[in-house]
Amino acid sequence: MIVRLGGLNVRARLTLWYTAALACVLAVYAGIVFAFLRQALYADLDRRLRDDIELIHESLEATDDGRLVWRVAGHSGEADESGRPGHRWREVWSREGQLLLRTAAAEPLGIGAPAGAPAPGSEFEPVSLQRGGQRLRVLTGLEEIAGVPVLVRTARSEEPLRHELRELVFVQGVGLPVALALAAIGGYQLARRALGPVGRMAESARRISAERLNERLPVDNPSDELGHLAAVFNDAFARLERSFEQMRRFTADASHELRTPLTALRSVGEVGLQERPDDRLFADVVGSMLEEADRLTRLVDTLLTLSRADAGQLRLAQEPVDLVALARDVAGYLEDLAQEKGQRLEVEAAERVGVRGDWLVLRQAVVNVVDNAIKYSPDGASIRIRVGRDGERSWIAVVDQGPGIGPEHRDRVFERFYRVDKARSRELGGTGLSLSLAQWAVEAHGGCIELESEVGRGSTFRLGLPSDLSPQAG
Amino acid sequence: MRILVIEDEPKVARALKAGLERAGYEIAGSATGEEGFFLASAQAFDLILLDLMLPGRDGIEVLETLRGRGVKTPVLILTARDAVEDRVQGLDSGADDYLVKPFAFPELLARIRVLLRRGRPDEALRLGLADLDMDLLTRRVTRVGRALDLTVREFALLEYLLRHHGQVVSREMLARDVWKEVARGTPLDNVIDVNIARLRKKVDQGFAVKLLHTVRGVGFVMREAPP
Repeated sequence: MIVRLGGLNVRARLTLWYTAALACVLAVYAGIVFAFLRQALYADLDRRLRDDIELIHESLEATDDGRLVWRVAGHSGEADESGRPGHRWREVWSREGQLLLRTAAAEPLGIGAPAGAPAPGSEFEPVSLQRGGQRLRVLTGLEEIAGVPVLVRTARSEEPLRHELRELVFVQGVGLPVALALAAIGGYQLARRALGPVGRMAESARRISAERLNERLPVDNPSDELGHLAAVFNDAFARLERSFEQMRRFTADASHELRTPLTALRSVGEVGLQERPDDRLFADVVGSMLEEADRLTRLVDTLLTLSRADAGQLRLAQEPVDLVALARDVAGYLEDLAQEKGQRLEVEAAERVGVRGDWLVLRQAVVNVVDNAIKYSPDGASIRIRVGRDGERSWIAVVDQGPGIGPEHRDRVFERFYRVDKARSRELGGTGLSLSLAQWAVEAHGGCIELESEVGRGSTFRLGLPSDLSPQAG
Repeated sequence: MRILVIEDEPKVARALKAGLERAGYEIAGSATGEEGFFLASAQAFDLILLDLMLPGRDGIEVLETLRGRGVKTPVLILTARDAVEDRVQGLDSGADDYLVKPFAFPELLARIRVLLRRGRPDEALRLGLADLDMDLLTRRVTRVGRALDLTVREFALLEYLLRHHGQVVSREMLARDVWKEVARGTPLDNVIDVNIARLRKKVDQGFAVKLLHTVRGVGFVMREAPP
């Protein structure tokens, strides 16, 4: 599997990047090694030059007429430590700039006259000179030999030093690219191995389609990054599966709910035609069909509202809404229904409780919940609509004395078409959508709807909304 | 009164024609936008019923062209699209009223009546039917001289029914005009039924001639003879 990014796959990009980084590090390292070695070699060479100058005393002596001569005859052609003759260049100059003595090695080319003179006993800084195709390291010292102050110049070839440096450069020039290549190959393999699970995950993810949402990505190691990623993906798949499942159920339920009135419509019509209808029966049949058509209309309207809500097409007003006034309005609106069942519908509220939102939508939510309470509470029961505020949260609670809702239904009563008691609910004419609508309405206002219930003692639906904290809310 | 019905769905068109003719209107029908437009610009109508989704020429387009040509005939739009934007668009294009399909026929009749008598006030202060008498000023309702004790809601309900006496009034009409409820799909039907039952008890109980009748599947009607 290849993740294409900027034309190169991630493996190649990773390898490229850290090979480049490694190359930089190695280049700096090589540069430092070179500089250190060079400095050390020069320091060593310079130390030997200094020794040479000090040793000049041993090599020279003054003749009776005041001339300086090599102490040992032929010393001028002496062999150096390596045994090769002629490597040690030495010259002795008078302070007036006159060449006094010169070793054989220095004979053909000469080191040359010193520029200026150092203070007695001190030395010039060593300098490098080019002489006849080879580089020399030259040190000049002011010495006093047999009472005569002279300038002693000594030189050594830099060739061995340069040879060593060249070797170093060669070793680094060959070795570092090889090391880099090895690192790149290793890194590429490592990246491939590290990214391998990504490929496998992508392969698995590709296999997981709408039909096979129950499958999950393999999690090799839950504690590493890729394991974490797989877990996150699996989480998303689980949510997808749930919502797909919900949608499937909703579609099935919706078609069932639509089919029920359609079936009634159809069979009432068919049966009506089979009989030889008189006017009365005819009116009855048509009336019954119209009732079913009404039911269908209501159902479709509610479904449309919900689907608009799902699609986010419903725009909510943001006006100040007093929940107490809202509760009283709903109570007044549904009072007739409660009275019919001999129920008492009471609003328990003290002062104004302000929220912001859409009066009509919120009212619909409360109407649905209270209507539900009236439907399911027995005759003569009392239903309380309590309104209150706990700081940032305002709420309307609808307390009924219905049969209560068992824990197994509690989470599901807000699902579309979910009914605790299917037969009873249909008989009462519910669409199975009113609590879903209420839940949507409350949640669209940034609130949440909660249910507390005890079987046999009644239920409390609590519609919590964010309080309106603006000053004019009172 | 001549009404032009521009509607492409044959069943609906047929039902509209039959229903409206029964209500005493003269009907001309058209199944396409072009034909409808041609008829509307060539002949005089008192009202146009316009479906929005038409083959050939869209209803809105027909309406805009008509209004652009100075045709002032009232237009009542019928459409299955009930989103607020659709309604606004319809009314902005020059429609006088808007009815969402599926609609109750009595409501269509009521809207047509409103559009046809527009500008002619008929706010009677005294309504009555047979031996039922309703005084809107004193808010006194009597039947055979006996005062009926009505709640505010029942009073409004009776007033509405009497203003439309002889005509079937649907639950949607009551919800919108008496309860001032804008949204469809509220559990209002039960509330209406309860109030109708109470009103019926007060108006009709103990009298041989029943005035408030239920037309099953459609709505309610005030009249002397049963429907």
